[in-house]
Amino acid sequence: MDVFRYLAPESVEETLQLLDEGAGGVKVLAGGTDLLVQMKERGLRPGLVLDVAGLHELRGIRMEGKYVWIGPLTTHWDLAHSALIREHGLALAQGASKVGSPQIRHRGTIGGNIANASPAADTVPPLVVLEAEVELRSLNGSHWLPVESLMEGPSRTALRPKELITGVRFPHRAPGSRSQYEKFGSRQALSIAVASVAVAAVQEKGRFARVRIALGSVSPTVVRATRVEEILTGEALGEDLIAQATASVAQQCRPIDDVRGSAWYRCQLVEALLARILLCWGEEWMAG
Amino acid sequence: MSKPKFRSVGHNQRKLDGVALVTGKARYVDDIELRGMLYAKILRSPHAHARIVEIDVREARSLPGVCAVLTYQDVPRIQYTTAGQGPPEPSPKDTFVLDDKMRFVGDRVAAVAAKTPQIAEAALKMIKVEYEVLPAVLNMEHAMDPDAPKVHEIPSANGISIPERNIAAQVEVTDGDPGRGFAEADLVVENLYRVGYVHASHTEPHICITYLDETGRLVVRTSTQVPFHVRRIIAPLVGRPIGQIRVIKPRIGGAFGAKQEVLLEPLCALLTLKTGCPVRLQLTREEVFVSSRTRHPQVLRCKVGVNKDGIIAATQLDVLANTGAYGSHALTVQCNTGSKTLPLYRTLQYREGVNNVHFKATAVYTNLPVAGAIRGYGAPQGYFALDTTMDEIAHRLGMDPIEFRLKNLIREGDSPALLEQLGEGREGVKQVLKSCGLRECIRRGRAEIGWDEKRARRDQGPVKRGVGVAVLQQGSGIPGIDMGAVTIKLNEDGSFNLLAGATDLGTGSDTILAQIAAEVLGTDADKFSVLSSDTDLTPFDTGAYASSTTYITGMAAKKAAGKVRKMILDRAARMLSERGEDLVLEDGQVRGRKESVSLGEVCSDALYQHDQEQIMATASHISYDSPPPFSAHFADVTVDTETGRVKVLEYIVAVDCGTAINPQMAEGQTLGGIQMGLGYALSEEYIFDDRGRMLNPRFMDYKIFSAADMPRIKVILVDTFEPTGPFGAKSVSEIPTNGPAPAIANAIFHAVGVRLREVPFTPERVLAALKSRDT
Ligand SMILES: Cc1cc2nc3c(=O)[nH]c(=O)nc-3n(C[C@H](O)[C@H](O)[C@H](O)COP(=O)(O)OP(=O)(O)OC[C@H]3O[C@@H](n4cnc5c(N)ncnc54)[C@H](O)[C@@H]3O)c2cc1C
Repeated sequence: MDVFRYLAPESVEETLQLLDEGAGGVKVLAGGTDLLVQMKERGLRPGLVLDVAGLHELRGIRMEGKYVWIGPLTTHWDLAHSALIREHGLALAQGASKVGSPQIRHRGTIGGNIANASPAADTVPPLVVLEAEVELRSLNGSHWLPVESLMEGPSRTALRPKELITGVRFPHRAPGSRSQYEKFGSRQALSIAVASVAVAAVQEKGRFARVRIALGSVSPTVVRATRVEEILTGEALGEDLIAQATASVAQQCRPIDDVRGSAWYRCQLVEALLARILLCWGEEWMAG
Repeated sequence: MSKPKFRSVGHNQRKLDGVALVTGKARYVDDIELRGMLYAKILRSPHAHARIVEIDVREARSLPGVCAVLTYQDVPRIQYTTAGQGPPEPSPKDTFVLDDKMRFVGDRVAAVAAKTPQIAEAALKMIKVEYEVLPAVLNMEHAMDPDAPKVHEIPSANGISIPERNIAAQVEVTDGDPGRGFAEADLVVENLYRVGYVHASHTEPHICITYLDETGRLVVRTSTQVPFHVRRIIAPLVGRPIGQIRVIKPRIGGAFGAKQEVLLEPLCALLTLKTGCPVRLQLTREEVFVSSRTRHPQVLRCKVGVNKDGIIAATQLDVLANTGAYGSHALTVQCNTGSKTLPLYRTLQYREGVNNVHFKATAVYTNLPVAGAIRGYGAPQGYFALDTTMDEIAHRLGMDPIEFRLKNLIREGDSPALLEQLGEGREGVKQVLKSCGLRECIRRGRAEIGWDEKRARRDQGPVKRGVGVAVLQQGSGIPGIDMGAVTIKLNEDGSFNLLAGATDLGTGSDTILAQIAAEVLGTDADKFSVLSSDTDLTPFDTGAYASSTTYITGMAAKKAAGKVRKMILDRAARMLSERGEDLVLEDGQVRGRKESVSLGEVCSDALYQHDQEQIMATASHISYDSPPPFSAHFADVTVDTETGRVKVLEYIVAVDCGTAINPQMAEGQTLGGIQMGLGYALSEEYIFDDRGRMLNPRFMDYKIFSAADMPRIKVILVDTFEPTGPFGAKSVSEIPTNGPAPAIANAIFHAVGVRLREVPFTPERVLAALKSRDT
């Protein structure tokens, strides 16, 4: 590894200042579970590493108005164990609980997972279906951007080099709504998703409304399955509908063959995972 | 069988090096600091098959901090085999320390020694190589085609079976008249099975540190299973007589066969001789994956014929094996694929006294990573094919798979004729089975898993459940070849030093040898200070392989201890003025009818008082028997028919290893072997691109079973007594690896009615098999 400068700023302001001066050669370090791998093994050579782990204001989970607010430094472990997250965005808790291993979940953060923009990132499909937004802040000010719009390609986001993610939020759970995340990895731990599916929807008088479906690991970014959302919207769950939905989900994927699985298999998985979520909901909706 | 009560053998003695290991005090190869030590790095071929046209190292050599750069032009042009086996080595001598021809992606181009690892890395980048890229053999099934590129050149081929057809080694043996057996059989089942590249996944990578001691002798501190073979094999390569070389094996972080290889030592030693400095050469994990040794990929054709009563009439196994770019263990691993599997089933019941068995194996070269020894040594491949075939026959006959096996399994007193023909690269040695707890293994495992209820179970929904069985054997050492020697000496406080050539790799053999010696000497294993594997200080041992140490070296320890015991009793008889036969040696005391003396007093008497001498003895042991341990494995699995995921819920292993010298460690060996076998069965595989480059040389993408994946495993040790082993012991270390692939394949069949004939049974492969059945 080459020589680089390391600074641990003490405030968000100072961090933004340093990012502004750094002109691109700067990398923010949160848990380091992506960044250090990239530096040690993938030839990433930042001139300056900004360790933000000490910025406590960027940590935590709380209610803010009609949103659940999450500090970007919140770890997967804390997300998975938060009662607030489980109540309002179960899919996100499920996604966080499936990241890596206990060690990785204790270090890795939601901000890092979002900024790293892997198509396999386990919190991103849940965030997309929960209509989450991220707050991007620079010396010039801040704005909220939907997570979905942030993702531009594998490892590419709309996050500018001078910007810091300073918050993540998603709306409270509406009455009758629910969300779920299913990941398929090739083993029980330390397994990047071969494919994943997140679904959020509201049940209104036995029918689907506000359906959002996001797919992981089957396209260059996490993608919405809008076609399938349309099929489900306004309909009541039943075997035929599930069959119709799963039959069309693969068309929404642009998967590749890689060491984790073939394109064919990824499509099979997306169908199976979607069917699994819908079946499980179907049974519960029938039951009551 | 009622057995004598032992004080040390059969007890869960704590590992002698256990506390040092878990507190981080134990020293591995890398845990020394030598003044002026250099760091070596290897430049590796980016091409699967290429010739170096020109190599320019001037810039690299002139980089400050670089002390030596070696290419093929700088090393002696001597061919050797990296396989650590006794001479005459059964593996072809097809390897140069450095060569101008590259035979796989990752083959060695050049080596650099520099003051820091960073400088060494930088120097590698400055080496300019011009390659003539050659067409490569990347598919083992086409390696023998007439127009296939030749991996090894005909003039320099050395011990290679048929270099012009890329055949590294081949073997064929027949007993009886299999053709007639098949013709007369009521049912013949024949199928192809495939097994791929697998990594040994030892924690400590290959590493070696070499230096010159104060007298100028070459010292090689290395992570090896075969210190004495290292010393002998490197001597000509580094141009030094054996007497000028000392090989030290410190603590080892696992090896599993991949370190039964003389891989780094010659290169590292040449760098030391070139620079006069200590040199450290450690592989990265990626290098271990790509350039150390793997399990041999094989395509196996297995054919078994039976009559309608389920009596086997003939068995046949044809193996095509991929040895990769070099022929390390090419012949012997393939021999084992037959000799460790086929004899498990008798074929002589069908026509009284006549066996009908045929075995053939051909190991071919390809431009892919090099295979070698790995735990099981050919048997895991063979059992996948053979045991799955047996299961299929049972099914086709409508018999319970266990009942079918029970009709045909080997029995005490049997002497499989195949073993006389098929040894380790040479003719075998007649074996008569003296202990066999196989039926007891099956009986207890069957009860523990609840076989009869679970076979009858039928389930609804997309996730199906099934149970499968596999029945296995292995060997204990190589008959007539493996030799181990042990020296024991007594100290004034009643403690002993035990010096053994045997190589504890984390396997626990130091402790086992102490337990055996302690048993003979009526004391505790803790009273032994064990020093193993230093070619200057310990007697010879062929090394830690072929499941040999407990059985072979253990017997040497027993014999050496017997001699020491006699010296102690003779002297104590004089000291106590009693007759030898009236003395009892126990609890560190020699008790006479009236008085007793302690071991310490006996030693002091010997060292300082009368007829002074060191009470010590050395003994060697070799065996012409290689008694097989036996095992029955039972897997209870679910198969998710929508994703293809196979989950192992419960795994039962019943194993007959004779007397378990240390039951807890025998269980540990078994658990470890199952963990390896589960990965082999379900998730581990090398993935290559179309140019022979491995795409997943890291543990994130090469999936071994993690702690979270492990099923509940229950190990049942079935007690037998092997008369040729120390206190009745046989081996236990390799056999568990053989079971998971067939047991799980059979369980999958029970669950969903689909036969998987290629490992690993990844979810994708299982799903594809389910889909192709359904269409
Ligand atoms: C062994 C292993 C297993 C893994 N398994 C999984 C898995 O199963 N699923 C999964 O999704 N991921 C997995 N990961 C990836 C990783 O752990 C996650 O992406 C994690 O959430 C990254 O968070 P971090 O805090 O460690 O990020 P870091 O490595 O610190 O940062 C990652 C990137 O985000 C940027 N960044 C971080 N915080 C901010 C911020 N506040 N503002 C702007 N930019 C920021 C960094 O500059 C960097 O570019 C695994 C990683 C490892 C090493």
